[in-house]
Amino acid sequence: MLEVKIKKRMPGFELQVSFSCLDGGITVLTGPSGAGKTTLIRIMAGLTKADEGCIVHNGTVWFDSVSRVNLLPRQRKIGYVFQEHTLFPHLTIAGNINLISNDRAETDRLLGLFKIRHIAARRPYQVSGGERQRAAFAQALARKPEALFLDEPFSALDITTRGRLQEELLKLKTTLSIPIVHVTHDPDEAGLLADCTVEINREFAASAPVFSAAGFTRRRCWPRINVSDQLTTPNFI
Amino acid sequence: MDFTPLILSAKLALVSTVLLLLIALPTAYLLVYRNFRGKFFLESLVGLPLVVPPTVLGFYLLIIMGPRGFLGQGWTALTGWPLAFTFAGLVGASLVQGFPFAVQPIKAAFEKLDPRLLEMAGVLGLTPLQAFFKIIIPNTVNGIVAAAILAFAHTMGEFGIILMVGGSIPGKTKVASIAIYEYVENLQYHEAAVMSLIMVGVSYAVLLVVNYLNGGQAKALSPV
Repeated sequence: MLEVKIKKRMPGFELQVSFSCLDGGITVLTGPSGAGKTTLIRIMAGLTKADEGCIVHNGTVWFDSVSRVNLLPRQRKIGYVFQEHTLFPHLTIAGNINLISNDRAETDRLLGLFKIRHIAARRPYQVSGGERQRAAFAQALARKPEALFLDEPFSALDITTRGRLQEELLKLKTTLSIPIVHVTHDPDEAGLLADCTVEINREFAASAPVFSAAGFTRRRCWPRINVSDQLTTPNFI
Repeated sequence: MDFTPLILSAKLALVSTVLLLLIALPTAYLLVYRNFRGKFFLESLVGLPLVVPPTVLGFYLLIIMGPRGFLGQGWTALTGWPLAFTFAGLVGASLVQGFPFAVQPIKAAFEKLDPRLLEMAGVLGLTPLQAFFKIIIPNTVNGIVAAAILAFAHTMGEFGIILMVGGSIPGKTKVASIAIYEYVENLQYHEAAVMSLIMVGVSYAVLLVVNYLNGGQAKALSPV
């Protein structure tokens, strides 16, 4: 389980959020542009530093402002898929995965899993957007991560490809028993993928965790947090 | 005509370029990717050989490389040879003089590199050393090659600092630029012209390669 409780001053408002992500479930961070979704996931990955709070993964403290712990991104053992520019341009698709896995057999397994064996020898700029994101997922999993962070990974894709990859992500979830955090500004995507939704609303200068399944306990929020009544379809068992 | 000075210049430039790259790569990395106390001073120090007259640099180097200087004494203790007025001394002087020419293009290439690539390297678990060799260097090859070529070309053309530290010992420290100066002094204009022409040719070829690596022929801006 990944527990997050942080504060971060942003231009014009303060981001405050407190939620947990369970293993094997997709936690969707959603909200309008500029609300701080990407900042939040970057804070969780260690790419940006929060002002206050703590992030704990299965008992390991990743960040704690009181005891001044702040693990580097590489020490957090995560997989991270960015929106764009997700692969190293000087390496082939297989080279990108192998750089992280350091194991040809594992690389081949991932190429097969994500159906990208046919483009293994191509460079990132020689493949389509959808194929590139599949390869980015394979690369993120090559490290055998203990949490998977996805920062709008499908937003640059066309509707058909996006739909296909969303379905594959739902299938992938069942095989991974790690917390998956997914950022999106698309309410439909949030509804489809979310086991738990964290809605970040800049209007209220606060965040509102909305837990969609019975298995989750609604955590006590910080004073300025507005809890929305909106619930997404429960699809987490 | 004696081509030894040209060969000596090329040998000096080659050795200096290799050593300069080895020093310039970590220096550029520190300047671009690390914050530390005194960074501002290091940055200014890197550019110092560009503004200090070569004779001034050469004078100080001669003092510290001489038999009573700490560098000269250290070198002699280590190898048994003197440093001033030898090829090794010339290499040392070239490293000082050529340093900014090697660091600046590499630094510019590092600064131009998409920072997201390094963020990716971090979240994918690569250590800074792995990121340096497997991500940064392969994606900044053009800048590194440009630095190598500029360092090589600059060393080929050094004059003041070489004259101060190396003198003009035929076959040992008499490089092409000094040979040309001596030809002119002795009114041997033909020899000076031939060697000068070769130097101009080499320099132009070097610039062609640098410009090619920087993106080929510049496209004219479209008229408004």
